[in-house]
Amino acid sequence: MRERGTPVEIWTMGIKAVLLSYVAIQSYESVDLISTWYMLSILIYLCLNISIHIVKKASSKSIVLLLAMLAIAVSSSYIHPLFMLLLPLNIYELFAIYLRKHGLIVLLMLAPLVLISQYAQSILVTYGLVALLSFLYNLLLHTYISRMTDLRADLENRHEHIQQLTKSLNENKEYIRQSDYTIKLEERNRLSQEIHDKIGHSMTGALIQMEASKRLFTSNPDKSAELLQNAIHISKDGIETIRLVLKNMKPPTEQLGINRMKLFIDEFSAKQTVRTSLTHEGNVDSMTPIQWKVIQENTQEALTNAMKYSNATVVSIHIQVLRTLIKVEVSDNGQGAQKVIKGLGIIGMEERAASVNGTIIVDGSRGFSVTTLIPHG
Amino acid sequence: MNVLEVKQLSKKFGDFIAVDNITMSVKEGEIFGFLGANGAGKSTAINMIASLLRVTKGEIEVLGKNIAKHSKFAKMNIGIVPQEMAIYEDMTAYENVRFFAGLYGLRGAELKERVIEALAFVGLGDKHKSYPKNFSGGMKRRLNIACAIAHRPKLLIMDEPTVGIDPQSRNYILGSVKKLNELGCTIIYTSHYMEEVEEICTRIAIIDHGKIIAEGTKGQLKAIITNQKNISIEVRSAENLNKSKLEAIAGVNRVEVEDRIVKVTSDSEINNLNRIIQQLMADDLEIRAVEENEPSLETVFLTLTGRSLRDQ
Repeated sequence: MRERGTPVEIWTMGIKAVLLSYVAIQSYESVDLISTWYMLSILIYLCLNISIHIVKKASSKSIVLLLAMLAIAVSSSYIHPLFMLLLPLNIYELFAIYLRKHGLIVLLMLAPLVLISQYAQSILVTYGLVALLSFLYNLLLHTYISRMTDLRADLENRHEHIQQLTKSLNENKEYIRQSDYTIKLEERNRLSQEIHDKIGHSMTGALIQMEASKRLFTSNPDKSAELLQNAIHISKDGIETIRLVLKNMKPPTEQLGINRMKLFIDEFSAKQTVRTSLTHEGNVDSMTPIQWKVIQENTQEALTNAMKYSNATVVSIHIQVLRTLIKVEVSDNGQGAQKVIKGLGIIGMEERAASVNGTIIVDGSRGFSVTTLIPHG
Repeated sequence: MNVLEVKQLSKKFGDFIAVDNITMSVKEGEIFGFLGANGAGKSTAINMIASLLRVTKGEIEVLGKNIAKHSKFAKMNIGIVPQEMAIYEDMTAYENVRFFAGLYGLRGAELKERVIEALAFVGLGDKHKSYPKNFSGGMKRRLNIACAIAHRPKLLIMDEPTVGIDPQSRNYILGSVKKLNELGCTIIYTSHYMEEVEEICTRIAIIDHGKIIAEGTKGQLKAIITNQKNISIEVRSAENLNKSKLEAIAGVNRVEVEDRIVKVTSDSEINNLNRIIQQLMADDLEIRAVEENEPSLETVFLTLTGRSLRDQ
């Protein structure tokens, strides 16, 4: 596998190459003869600057960088002052490992100016320019690269999250399909059972009586009439049974309102370790199904939150039906929260409550409590 | 016309939401009460209305004009009595009021006249040359009010103006609030004291955790809980009681007799105590004591927020 340099490395090499070419071209024009020492120092510079990216440890990196800076210093004083222009980048690279403050780094990069002003005044301005430009270049590079890295990490997280969501969505869809099917089967089963047990038997009974009555119609009209009467009775019973079966198809009361809530809370506390209690006052029967739906969903959300964050041992749910307001409070005895931050859960509860013109109050000062207020009546 | 119109107003301090999506309006001539525990968001909301705090989200209109766009107009028409005393101890009472009235652009003879008028209004007409450092808490509060009303604002905002003062000064301040209101000033009033709000406010908003959870007249707020009141009348003997006649009185729902006590349950909106007593007297029952139980604002507050106003 081929390992590629990080973007920072590639861009740093790039700027170094540009600077080196500038130095080479400038010095070529100003010097008549290229000495072997000149070539050697360029090669040493290249070697050292490439090895920076090969060694991995910070300490060895600093050693290589120090060597490179030394080489630059030597070659600039003995061979050509323009070599000095290569220094700022190495200074930046060295101190960026240890220092966080950019102000300090830029000062260090400009520090050689003091020396230059005494020994090589011809490149004073050029050095300043190169140092500042290199600094800005590096600063920009690091800022953008770190931004990009952050964004990429964020993007990956989101991808993963979306994948999880898609997965659970698919699972849920499958679950819904399954339970839909199961419910249909159960219902069909119940209907056929009842039809078979009750109506089927009556119909058969009535049929037998009528058959018998037909045979006796001429020979024994009285008996025949009696049998016919029996058949009529049985049919009447059958019709009554059909009515009852149809009536039973409506959901019984224990599946609605406060009973459904009780069932839900019982199921919850059976699965969890906390103790839960449900109390209510006022006329809970006057609440509409849509209000129950909102309350149950908010209660579920609040209970889940309590399980996740509160470390509570007791959660209590209190439903209060006032004259023009319904108040549902889910409170726990857990650690609460000094500062309540609105997350998706709370916003969800808020939106559900708002759909029936209600609102929610979240309080983290005495345990944690979520109160849903819904106007009513 | 609405003197104040607040639309979906929110204020965040970092992650903390002090005021959460409040919508309300105050009509001309109202005394609008803000009830809420400490930290519920009353002062934050009020300070945004008075342009003392920057709005995070939402709009505020004073006399139909957006305060962000017409800040000078809004400031000229609003007077604020802040919770923290805002007076200079080393300036005389007169100089204090003149200073604040001057900020609102009053000059010359008009300025002088208004300052004298404001000081007289709060009962400090004889203290022009006195220094506030020698004032009692109540007098300082009254001076604070004078500073806020000298420019005759259309809307006066009072943030807990009766905290920590003697009952006499409090009564004086409540009296001046009513008088100001009669003179055409619309007032927003916050207080810790339920009785004050109940006594002077024409409309009340209960605020909790930055949200308005109930709003309306005293009657409307009480009706959230119940629209019934219980009247217990102790008599010497209830033998002669004509129950059906009592039940026929408008508003009466139920009459029960327990030993010597007649218990009447009635609609709280209808004032029928006189007629009930008259009926009992007509039956020649000797009345010993009458007690009327209506849910108080305190009960409403306790039921809705789960805590009493002063339990901090």
